[in-house]
Parts: sequence; structure tokens; C-alpha cells
Amino acid sequence: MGNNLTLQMKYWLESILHSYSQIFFSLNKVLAIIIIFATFFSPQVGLTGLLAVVLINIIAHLVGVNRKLINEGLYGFNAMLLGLFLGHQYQLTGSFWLLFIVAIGFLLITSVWLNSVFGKHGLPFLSFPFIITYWVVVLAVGNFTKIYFNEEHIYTINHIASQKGNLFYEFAHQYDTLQIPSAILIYFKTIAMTFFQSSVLAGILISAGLLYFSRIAFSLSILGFSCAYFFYASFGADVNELDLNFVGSNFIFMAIGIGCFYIVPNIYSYITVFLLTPLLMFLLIFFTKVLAVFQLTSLTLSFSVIVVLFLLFLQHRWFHRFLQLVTIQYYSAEKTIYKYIISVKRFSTSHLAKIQLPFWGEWQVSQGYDGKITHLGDWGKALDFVIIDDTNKTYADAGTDKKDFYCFDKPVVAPMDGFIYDILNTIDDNEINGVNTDQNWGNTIVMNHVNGLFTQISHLKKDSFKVSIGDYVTKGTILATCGNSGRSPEPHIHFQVQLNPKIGSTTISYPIGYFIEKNKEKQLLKIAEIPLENTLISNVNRHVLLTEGFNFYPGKKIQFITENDEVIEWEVFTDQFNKTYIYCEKTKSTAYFVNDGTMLYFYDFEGDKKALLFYFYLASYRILLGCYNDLPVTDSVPLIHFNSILFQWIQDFIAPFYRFTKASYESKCALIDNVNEPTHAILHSKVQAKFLNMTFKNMDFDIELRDKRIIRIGITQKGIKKNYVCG
Amino acid sequence: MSKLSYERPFIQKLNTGSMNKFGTKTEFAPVSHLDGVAVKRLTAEYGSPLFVISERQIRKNCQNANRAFKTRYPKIQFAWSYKTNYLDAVCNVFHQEGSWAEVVSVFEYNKALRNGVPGNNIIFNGPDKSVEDLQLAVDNNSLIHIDHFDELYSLVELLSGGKQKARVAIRVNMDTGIYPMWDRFGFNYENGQAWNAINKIMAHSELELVGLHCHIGTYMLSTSAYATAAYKLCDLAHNIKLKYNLAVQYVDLGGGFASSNTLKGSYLQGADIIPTIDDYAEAITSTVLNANFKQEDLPTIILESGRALIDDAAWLVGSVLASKRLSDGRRATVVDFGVNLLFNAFWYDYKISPAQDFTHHTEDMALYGPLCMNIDCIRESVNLPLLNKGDQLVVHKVGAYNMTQWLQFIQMRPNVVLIDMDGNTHLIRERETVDTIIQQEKMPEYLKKK
Repeated sequence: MGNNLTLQMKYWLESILHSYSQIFFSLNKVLAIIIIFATFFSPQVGLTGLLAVVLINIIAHLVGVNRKLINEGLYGFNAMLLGLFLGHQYQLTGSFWLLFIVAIGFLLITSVWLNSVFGKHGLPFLSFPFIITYWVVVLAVGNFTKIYFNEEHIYTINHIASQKGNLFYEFAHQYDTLQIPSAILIYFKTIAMTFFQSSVLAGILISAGLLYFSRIAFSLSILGFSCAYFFYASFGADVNELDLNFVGSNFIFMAIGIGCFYIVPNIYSYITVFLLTPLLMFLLIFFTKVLAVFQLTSLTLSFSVIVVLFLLFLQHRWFHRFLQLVTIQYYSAEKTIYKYIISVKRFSTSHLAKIQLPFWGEWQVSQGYDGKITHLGDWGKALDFVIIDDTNKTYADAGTDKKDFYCFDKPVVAPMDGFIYDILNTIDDNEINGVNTDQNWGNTIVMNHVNGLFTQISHLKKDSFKVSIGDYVTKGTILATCGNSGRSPEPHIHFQVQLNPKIGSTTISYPIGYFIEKNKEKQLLKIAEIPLENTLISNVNRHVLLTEGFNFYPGKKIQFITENDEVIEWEVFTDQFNKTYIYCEKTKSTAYFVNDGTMLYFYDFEGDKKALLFYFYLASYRILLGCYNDLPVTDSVPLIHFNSILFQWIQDFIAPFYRFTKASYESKCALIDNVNEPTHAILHSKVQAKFLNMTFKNMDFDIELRDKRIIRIGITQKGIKKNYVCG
Repeated sequence: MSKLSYERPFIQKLNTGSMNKFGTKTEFAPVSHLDGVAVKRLTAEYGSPLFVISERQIRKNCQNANRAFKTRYPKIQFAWSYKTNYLDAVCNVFHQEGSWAEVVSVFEYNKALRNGVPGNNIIFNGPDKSVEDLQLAVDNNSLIHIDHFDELYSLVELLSGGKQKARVAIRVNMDTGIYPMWDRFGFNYENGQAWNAINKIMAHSELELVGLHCHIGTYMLSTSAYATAAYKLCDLAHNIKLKYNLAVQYVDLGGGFASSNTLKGSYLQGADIIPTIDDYAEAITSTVLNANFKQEDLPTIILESGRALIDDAAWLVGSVLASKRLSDGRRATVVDFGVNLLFNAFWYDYKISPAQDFTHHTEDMALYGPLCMNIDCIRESVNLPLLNKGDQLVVHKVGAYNMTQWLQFIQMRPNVVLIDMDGNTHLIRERETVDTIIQQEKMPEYLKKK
């Protein structure tokens, strides 16, 4: 029960804090606390802001709105703005509170409505609910006689005079007349004005909080402001307008939103911010003038409009060039960029179907894509395979008979799961050097893989088919054997991927999921590549020891015992986006992974970097689920796991343009007891973080597996080895 | 022009047949080089007789066999049959090519361990395994192929009460339509003995049944026998799956693939009648593939082929000691290698070539070894050029069994040389001396010469 209460407390506290930090597209609690503190520089404004957040969260919770969104402060941040505005504008009378409650209720309804309208298109509703509610309230209030304006912001000089001797007021406003360049002063005032504060100190504090939260967001806020300043000066507009009525805030929000939140930060996103600035400026002036008719101000309307418009524009591109939309929102530009770079590198081919080679053992690509013999034009993206011996011959003895050829009558297997769509089995196998150009393709099988792909395998042996049309077969099932029918002077397999089911359709280029290329006694793992002509290739064998050992199905519990007999417990879960992860309750850490059957990838970690789960995440960052001697798997690890704070901050500032640190990963089998049916294996992996080629972090890991499960993890760091035994 | 070498007079019966201007030319080609190395150089350096082994040929054989099987079936494992040739250098070439070790005695077992083969990659076959041997195999997690019930019982007794587990398979003998049926090894399939043994194993939790093994014969000329054997093993595997829901990890088809040596009494040359390794592979793999295993239950096929992988990778080089005429008029040649080195001469008609140039004249002769024993006959009748004392001969395809079954009888065993991939020669077993033999002997005090 007590546990439940703390959970409840945590939930509400988080909901409040997130509502504040959301303003800067953040979920950072420190930033939130700074903002709350700064809003209380005008106590009345701070109070109404906080009450608005609490009130909307409670109402939303009671009426049963999505609790995750409440927790993320998605309703709260509009309420916060509205609360600040109301407290700033009106006196706190009884009638005011009535108005306050009604306004918050209206805001919630508007928020939910706009969320559903915009959400359909994958767009954020930004501050639209606040603006709409504000207009409605402001226009309505004009008819109310019992709502009084807060005069301190109208008669500011009187107010300042009245506050003489008020220590808190003097503390809050101590820097208002600071002798610094006016641009900087206006920047701080703009930041403060976002929260209806006139104190420069509030602006300084909040920008410091922003810097603490994200270097990239901070630098973009400066960029946005500078661009605005530049264009105002260039067009001869009044730069002092920037700190009035949210004008400057629009530029700052737009810079953060477009520069690093909705778009992966890079040089182009920064350029975009610059280019959008004049547009935003025109919009601002336009809205201001149009709304002036109704005696309304546009506040953050222009920012919201331009961000939504621009995102919609980006979404409807055919090719996502230069600007990449953020798909997984980490609420941190740094995380986004580091993880994005890595995931592009690692998962750019993960959407492709994993085709395997249609044979067993080691074969040679006798003709590759766009080969000179028959793989021409529209039919160029095809592969021919034969078997060769150590002298590169494809046959033994004289080579005058089909049966002399090594590949003749060898099994041809299904490259992927699918239905047998078509079989042609009427063509006699040619004698050697006989070519049947009338029935070009020879005996052929076409499989429908249901995902839009069809594969065709040709020149098969007559009457060797082991399947019939309509059968559903799994990857690796024998279909037929290699023959010499059709346009085939000597036995070989022709393999192609196509988008149409007809035999002899035009080919498309499609990589093989995983295969091993052997050259000069060295073997290389190839991932999503197209085999090259004359290479010797074979399929990757997977082993039960590893596929079962690393089979983290949801609900599975894993237990480790440290050298001090402490017990560490993990459990595997799936979230609403169908992402699987391992969760450690004790350290509140989460490690996300994907397993495509041949390769296990850990791709994200959140939580305590001293937890065993973090080390396990690094150790199993990329594991080939087959045991091979001498077949290392390499990868890059996101930097943010390793850099020291200072280092990291410097890197953060320039990360969108250049990354001077990098971390590499390698894993391989250090011990296998049996290559065919391993029952015991030790995988060795290491992570190295480098700064301009100097290693500053080095970690070694051992994962020992026996009888289809992980039995031990060893971590070596700075020469000290720790072992964790799987319970 | 160099001086013509002396050729002794000979008598040849006139044969009918079409005449040609070359006379009765024979097809004898002298074999002056072995894998690129001159025979003269080899004998000068290492003496005569001399066994010569080609690493290149071994690797080629391995790769051929691997290709034949691995392109037909996804899970193949070869295990080198130690008894065929257990010279460490030879074994290690096989291990480098990925072969496990298949041993039939604790002596071979220890040899495999010494060669660095991981314990679990050693298959322990054979009818003679003492309790200590079994313990050793269990400690090393090796695969124990149980040969008889007594062995099964001793293994159970050994493991009872302890925590150790043994990975076992049973050797199954069966009627595959060939004669003789090797029913003296293992448990019979047809009379239910094998199934009985499997049930007994499954009743003991300390025994982990991992595979099924058979070895249907040697120098098998019929591939269909392997298909039958594979079928019967798969049948047992299915029954195990059905009754115990256990998918056996492997079926071990043993060895017995023929080499191209010619059997005595065979009308045709060996090379003309033996199946190729591809034929064996096709028979075995297609049977297992057609046995309706689920894809994930498909067992590994283990092969213990010995003879077919090593026979043609070794030669025996020897010299003529004497030439004489027998009482019935036949020619006889005495050479310095006999059945002490070529034990397999008892059932093979080994192909023998001269190692130097000769004229086209040839003569039928008996080839006798150096032993002072009547049985020492290499070939009862062989057509060879006119040999003189000191001439050299090369015996082909002697790699299998000779270097393990050879006798230290009357003569010492000679040097064994390996020609590596680059044509360099390495002495891999030194010739024996009197010391080799007498160091094992003990002299009772009272017999010592004062």
C-alpha cells in the first residue's frame, strides 16, 4: 500500500514538473523546478500557473483521459501558460476563480479535441489549445464587470515604486537594469516573458536550466533569437518588440522545435531554422494585424502554425532528404542525435525481408548482378550459383556429363517462408554445352513470400520437385535440385527477386539478409548485401544454444547472483509500441532489443549506468546467433554512455555537425564446444570509446552459455574482472 | 648419350593380338616424383623403405568429402577414424580440416586428447572400454557409443549416485542387405535389441541419449546399404521422438566408404567399381532428408570415413633386394618391404609402379617381401619392367590401416615422411632401431651376462 502511495505521489509530481518542462520540449525535472521558481517571481502569476497545472491534471485524470499523456505534461503545459496568463492579467477575486475553473475545463476539452485532430496526422497540437482558450476568455471577459484587470502590469512604474523594500521583489529584479549588450538583455527578457515575468534574473535562471537540460536546445534558442534579431534589424523592424507579447518566444520555440525536437538535429535543421525565421516574422506581423481588429494578441500562434505546417510539409515528401523526422521521441536532442546516427547505421536495412541463399554449403556466384553473360537490362539483378573445387573447377572427371558437375542434383532450398506460386517442370535437362533458348528459364519455381516479393529459381532438374503449387514452405525447405534445363550450358542455379509472380518477370535488386563470404581462408559476415561475382558464399547457421540462450520472450525472468551473493532480477516486457525490453526493477533500468532470428541487437538503454543491465546491454549489443570461430561482429555504440560531463557538453554543442568521439563494439565466439550442435560457448565482446583515436574507455565482457541458457556474465573494466552467475 | 643401363634377359610368351609397330607395349609409366618430390631424393634422405604422405591429397580428400555432403545436407560432421591412421601429424591435418576424432581404444583416446581435440569432439567407439576408460570419457564429456549391454551396465553403475552425466549413443547393427553382417558390434535393429537398449538408456537420467550410430561394414561397394542403414537409424530416431519426445542430435553412419584400391579376386580395377563419395553422400543425405524430420529436429549426420580419405594420400617407396627364378620358371623379385609394412596386401592387389625409366619390356613376377617367412608375399603375380637390384618401386594408396596395423616383425618400421602444401618434406615418424624395441624389455637379473 505504501509503495502504491509513493507511486501515486511520483505520478502526480512528475505530471506537474513535466507540464513545465514541456514548454521547452523537455521532460527534465531540474529545468521544471527552475521554471516554477522563476514564475513565482511574480507570486500571483506563479500561483495561478501552478494551480492551473494541478487542476487540469486532476480533471483530466478524473474524467479518464490518457494517463501517459497527463504524465508527460501534454495537457499541463497549455494549462500552465493559461494559468500564468490569467494570473498575470486579472485580479484574484471570487469571480476570477470561477472564470479560472471554466477556462481550464474549456482548455482540457480543446486540448483533447486538437490532440485527436492533429494526432491523426502525426502532428503535435503545440499551444493551440492555450491560444484558442485565451481568445475565448479574453473576448468574454470584456463583457464581465466583476473581473478586474491586474493593474501592476498596466501601471508598471507605480508597481515598482510600491514594491520598494520588498526584499524578494528586489532580489527577483536585481538584474533588470544590467549593463550588458541590449541583445543579450532582450534575450533574457524574452525567455522570462514566455512565463509572463519581467525579471531578467528569471530569464537568466531559465536559460541556465535550458543549458543544463540540453546544449543543443540551448544553442538553438540562441540561434532562433539571433536570427530574429538579425532579420528584425535587416528589415528595419523594432528589435525591442521581441520581448513583448511573446514575439521573441515564437522564434525561440520554433528554433528548438524545428532545429532539434521534431527533426534530427544536423546542419540542415540549423539552416532551416535560419530560413524559416523571416517567414515566421511575416506570419507574426500578419496575425498581429489581423487579430488587432478583435483586440487580441497572437501570442505563440505564429510558432504553432509554422511548426505544424512545416512538419506536415516534411511528412509528405517522397524522399526524406536532408531533414529526418524524429520517430522515437526521447525528449532530448542529444539522445536523439546520438541514437539516430547509430540506428541509421545499424537498422537502415532492418525493414528488408531476410532472404537466405537458396542452397546448403558453400557455392560460388558464377554470375552476379548485371553480369556480362545473361544478366542484362531489366533482368540484370539476378544471381547464378555453382559449386567449385579447390582448383576452381565446377566439375570432376571430364566434365562431359551433367553428373560430373558438383552442383548437379544438389538441393535447392526456399530462400524465405512463403507459398509455392508456380512450378514449371516439363523441360529436359540439357547435355553439357547444350543450350535451350526456346525454353529460356528451364524448370522453374516461383515462390510468393506474401510480403510483396516473389523469388524465382531456374534451371532446376526435371522431376526433382519436392513441393507442389500452393504448398506453404518455411525458409530452408528443399524445393527441388539443381539441374541443367533451359538456357544453361552447364548445371547452375539462377536466382532472382521480383515484384511479379510471372516466370521471367523483371528483376529487382534485393540484398541477402545474412551470408558468409569466404576469401583466402578468411570468412566475413555480410549483412544485407548483394553477393558479388566470383565470391564463395554460404548461409549463416544458427544454433539453438544461442537462439534459445538469447531468447528473451516477454514474461521471461532472468536472475543473476553477484560475487557478494546479491541477487539481481530482470524481466522481459513488451510496450504498447511492440518494443521488447528487459527491465531491472531495482535500478529502474531498461534495455531495448530486437531479435531478427539471426542477429540480436540491443539498441537502447535508459537508466542506471552502474546497473548490471547496462553492462549486459553493452556486452550483447550485437550478437550473431550462430557459433563461428573467427567471425567477429562489429558495431558502433552511442557515445553518450561514456563521455565525461565536460567532454560530453563540448561534444553536445557541436554534435549536429561533427562527432569527435566514437565508441566501437566487437563480439565473437571465444569458445565453442561443437560447431554443429554447440552446448557450451563463451562469447567475448568488447567496447572501446575513443577520442580522436585515443582510447579512453575499454570494457571487456564474457557471456557464457551452456545448455541453451546464459550461465555467466563476466565484466572486465580497468583490469578488474567481476563475474555474475545466472541463477 | 649416357650409357644404356643393363637389362637382364627375359623370356616372354608370344600373345596373339593385333600387331603394331611398337610391339607389345605396356602402359607402365614410371613414378619418379611423389607430389612433386623426387623419389630418389626421398630415399637418399630418408632411406628405403619409406612411407610418404601427401598433405595436399589429404586436404583435397577432406574438402571433396565435405563438399559432397555439405551441399546436400545442412548439418554434417566428419570424425577422423584414428585406427585408420593415427600418426599425430596426419590426425592434425584432419582436425585442421574440421574433423573430430573417432577412437576405439583408450590409447587412441589419449592420442586424440594429446592432439588437442576437445573432449566433447571425441567419439569413443568400440567394444573394449574399461570402467576407467568410461570414467575418462565421462570426465571429458565425450560421446560414448555403447557397444553392448555389459558396457551399458558398467556405465550406469559408474554414474549411479554421482552427479556426472554421460552423453551416449548406441551402436546399432542391422541387415542392410550385404554380407557379412557386422552383428558382432552393437545392438541389433531387427530383433529389437537396439530399441531395448534405447529404453534402458532413457530409463537412466544420468545417461543422455544424444545420437545413434552404425557402421555397416568396410570397403562397401553398394551405396544402397547406406540408404538402408540411414533409414533404420531414422526409424529409431522417430520412435525415440514419439515415445520420449526427444530429438536425437545426430545419426552417425560410420565409415566404410571404399577407396580405389583393387580387392584381391576382383575382375575389375577398384577405381572402376567403387562408388564416388558423392554417391555415398546422395544415398545417405537423401534418405535422412526424406525421413520426415521436422526442420528443427533434423539430426546432424556424422561420418567416420577413414579409408576413403587417406588411402590415396600415401605411398610406400621400396627397393629391389634380389631377383630370382622359382622352380616352376616364374620370375620372383624380393623387395625390402613386406607384409610387415603392408598388412593390407593380404586383401588388396596394390598397384605398384617402378620409380625410374624402363624399356617397354615387362615380365610377370611374384613380389616377395624381406621377411624370412613364407607368407610374406606382396603380389602373387604382377607385371613389372625388368627390375634390377637397387631399383626403386612405389606402392600406391597405402594410407589406410598400414601405418597402424604394421608389424615390428623381423624388420624395423621405417621412416614416415609428410610432404606439406609447399612441397617441403617433414619426418613425422622416425624409423625404429634396436633400442626402440629393447627399451621395453626387462632382463631378469639371473639371466644377465656376467
